[in-house]
Amino acid sequence: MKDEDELSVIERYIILLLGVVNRPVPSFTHLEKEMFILSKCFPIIQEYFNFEEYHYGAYSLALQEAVEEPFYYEDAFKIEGNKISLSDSGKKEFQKIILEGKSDKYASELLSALKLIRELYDKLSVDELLFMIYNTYPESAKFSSVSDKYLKDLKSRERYAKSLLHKGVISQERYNELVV
Amino acid sequence: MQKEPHKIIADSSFYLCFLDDINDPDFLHRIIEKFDLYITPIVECEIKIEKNKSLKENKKIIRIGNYIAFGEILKPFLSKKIIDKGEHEVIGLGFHFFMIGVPFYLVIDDEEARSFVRKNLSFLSSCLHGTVGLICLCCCYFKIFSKSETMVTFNKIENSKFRISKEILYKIKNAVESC
Repeated sequence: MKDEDELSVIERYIILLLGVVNRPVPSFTHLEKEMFILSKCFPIIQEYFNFEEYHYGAYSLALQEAVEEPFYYEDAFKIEGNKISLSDSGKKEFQKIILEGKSDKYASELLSALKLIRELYDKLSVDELLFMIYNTYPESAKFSSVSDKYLKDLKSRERYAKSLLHKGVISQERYNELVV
Repeated sequence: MQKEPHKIIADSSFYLCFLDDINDPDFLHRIIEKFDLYITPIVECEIKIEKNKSLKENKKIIRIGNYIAFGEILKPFLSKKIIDKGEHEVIGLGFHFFMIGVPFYLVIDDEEARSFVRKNLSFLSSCLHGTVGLICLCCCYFKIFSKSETMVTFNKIENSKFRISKEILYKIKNAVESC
C-alpha cells in the first residue's frame, strides 16, 4: 500500500507523461510500457511504480490504480475507449507542476525524456510495443503469458519486425537482430 | 535570428578520427577552443578519456554523466553495434538540447544512427553533421582552419581507416574549395 505522499508523486508523473504532448496515450499498455521505459532511464521512479513481471511483462499496479482511482488529482485523467489523456483539470495541474519545477535544474531533463518517449512509442501498435519491450528487456517476460508470440514464434517476429522496418522506426541492422 | 551554435555533441568516431585514425590531436584541440564539447558516458569510455590528460582536464569538454539516461529510451530501436558505440546516448542528448532550445551541432558518422534521426526525429536534421562536414564548417564558416590545412586533413582522412564514402568526401572537398 502506497502512502499519501507516494500516491501524489505517482499521479504527478502520470500527469507529466500524459501532458507532455497534446494527444492521448493510445492504450493502457502504452501507458504502462512508456512509464516502464522512463523507469529504465530514470531509475529513481522505480521505487514509486514498482514494476514487476506480470502476464503482459513489466507492469505497475500502482500506475493502473492511480489512473483508475486517483487519490490526489481526482479529475485529472480521462479514459475514452483505450485512450488515456488529461482532462481540463488535469491540464491545469500539468501547467502547475511545470511552473513549480522551473527552479529544478533536472526538470527539463525529465520533460525531454518524457517527450522523447511519447514521440517514439506512441506510434507503435500494442503488438509492436510488446515485441520491442520483450526483445530489449527479455527479463520482463519471465511470467508473461503472451511472450512466446513475441520471443519464440518466428513468423510473428518477422511480421512485427517487418512492420517496424516499414514504419522506419528500426533499421535493417536492428531488423536482422530481431528476426533471428 | 537563430543563435550560432557553440556546442557540439559528437559520437566517438569524431574524436577517434583525430586521436587515432589521422593521429592529429592538435586539430581536435583547435575545434575544442572554439566550441564546448558535450560528451556522453559511453563515448567517454570509447575514446578512453581517463587516459587522455589533455581532454580529461580540458574545461571545454563537458562530461554530462547520466542523471537521466536518455539513451535507454532509444535502445529498443537501434542495433547492438550502435548501442555499444553509445550513439543512442548522443541522439538522446541532442533531443534534450533541442527541447530546451540550445543551438548545437550533432556529429554522427554512422549511417544507421543518422538515418534513424532523419526518419524519426527529423527536426534534428538541421543540426546533424558528419565529422568531415563539421570540419568543412570549421573552415568555411568559423574560419578555424585555412583551406589548405583543411584539404591536407581531408587527404589524411581519405588515407586513414576512418569510414567515409569517396563521393561524400569529394563533395565536401569541393564545398571547401568553393567557399
